[in-house]
Amino acid sequence: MTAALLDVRHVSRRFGGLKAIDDVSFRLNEGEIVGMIGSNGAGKTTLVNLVTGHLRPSQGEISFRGQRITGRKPHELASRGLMRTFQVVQPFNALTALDNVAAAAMFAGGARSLSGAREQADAALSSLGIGHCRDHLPIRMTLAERKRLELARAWVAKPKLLFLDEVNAGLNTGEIEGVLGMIRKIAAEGVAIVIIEHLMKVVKGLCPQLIVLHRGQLLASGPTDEVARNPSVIEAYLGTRGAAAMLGEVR
Amino acid sequence: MTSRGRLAIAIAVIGGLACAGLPLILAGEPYLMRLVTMFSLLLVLAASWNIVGGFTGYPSFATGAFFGLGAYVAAILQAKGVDWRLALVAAGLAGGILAAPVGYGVLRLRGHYFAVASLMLGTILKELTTGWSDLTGGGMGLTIAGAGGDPEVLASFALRVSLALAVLTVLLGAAIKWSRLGFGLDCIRMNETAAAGIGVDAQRLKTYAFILSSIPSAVAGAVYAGWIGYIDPTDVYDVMWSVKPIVAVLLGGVGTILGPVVGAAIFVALEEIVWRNVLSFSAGGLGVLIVLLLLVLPAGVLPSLVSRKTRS
Repeated sequence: MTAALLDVRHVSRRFGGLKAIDDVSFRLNEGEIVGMIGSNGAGKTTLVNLVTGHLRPSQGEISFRGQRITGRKPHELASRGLMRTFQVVQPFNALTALDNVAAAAMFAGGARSLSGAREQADAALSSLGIGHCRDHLPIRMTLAERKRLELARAWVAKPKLLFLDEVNAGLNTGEIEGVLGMIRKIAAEGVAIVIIEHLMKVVKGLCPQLIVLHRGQLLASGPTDEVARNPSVIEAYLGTRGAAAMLGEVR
Repeated sequence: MTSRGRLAIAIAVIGGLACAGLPLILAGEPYLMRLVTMFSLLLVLAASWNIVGGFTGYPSFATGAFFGLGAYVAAILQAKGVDWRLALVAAGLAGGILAAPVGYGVLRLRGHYFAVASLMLGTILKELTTGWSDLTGGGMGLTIAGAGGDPEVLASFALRVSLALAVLTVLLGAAIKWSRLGFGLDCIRMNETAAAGIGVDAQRLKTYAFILSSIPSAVAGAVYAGWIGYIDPTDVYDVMWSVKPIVAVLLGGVGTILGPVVGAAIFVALEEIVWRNVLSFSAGGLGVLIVLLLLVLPAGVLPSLVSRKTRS
């Protein structure tokens, strides 16, 4: 068996008496697209924070590209190819869209000069369909454009693995389609992507694999169709009665 | 040539001319010489503070601590017969060496917490200096050897050195702002979490900024000590050495290259006007004036002028 790109082993994280993440293990291979779903408070963002170094696990081990990264800082992981976007967009407000992306090209992407970084940034903005915003400040961009700006910032850093934390939240159906198209484009370059969502329908069309979190625990993982039919997953999503109704319908 | 290159050359040329010309023009005008020297020293502190407070967004109150440290290092070395140039270099080194661990520790705090922690550094150094009287003379202070010559020569000399130091510090600010370090500091100021997310080693860059800012402050203290000829802990560790540069930068334009120059000039001018006219209420009058100015021009004089120009 080849070494996994990301290997999360028995990771837990406590906040006081609350076990936000409880003994979660999973593996990701290179170029894989995985959906991570779960209801509000299931621990999705906490798990992303643990893997990307924004939080330290209370227990457990995390390896990335064969090296142990437990407790490493976010900036170091970003430079090694482990990037994320934030649920609430986090632009640099006094920098133009171009320089927002150029900063990522410079510090995580390894661009040597500002002009080189800006060239890469320009290309990334154009191919993500927001080339017309290059000289805008983030405050003048729409939410959908700012979401794409986050994607561009992560992409230009040439990641091996990209966590997209609710990149579709707050967008309308048309805008979601657009962003999904961008994600496919990034995935086509061999970047492994984990899409964090609570909408099953968004991940269904995009992700061959699913991970389901429920109350901090790994409820199920595997091929999307299988997981989506898993009774405990349906129960967690719809409650006991809803699940019974839906399973009855399926039969 | 780029606008940055032109600005850098303009600073160097105008600064060089000021260093060469002003001591000649002002010869025989001790009051004006003193004023320009005070302006230059304040400019050094303001431009240094701007690196940490303006570029990085960490409101440091440690400027006075490095100023005082530099003053004492230089004074003690000169008392032991060390050449003044070497004493200035040693003062700068001492500032940088102290700033490295302090910055690494204290820059983990943000906002008000950082401000208060940085304020403590000066208090601690003041106590240490007062306590270690074998070396520092304690509360009795220290007289700097070699300052006993012709007062006019000394004034001219202090003016030249402080002007040169001011020009260098402004150029240092420009060099940082336009570098990769400056780009990283920009990101940290705007959003430190996002900065870490795109690979910016915030802890390291902040510490670099803190060290680079402390060195000119310490050298300024050394120049001040040689100029005044006598220092004691309450004078050189006075919290005003931390506060005045901040006010100057706020007046001129936070995070801009020339803001400290404009701000220091306004500050020194205001201080003189107020001293002359309302001596009995000088500190209060100065405070009221500064608050009014900041209310009218919150971004500072320089950015306000620029934005007015671009609007029209």
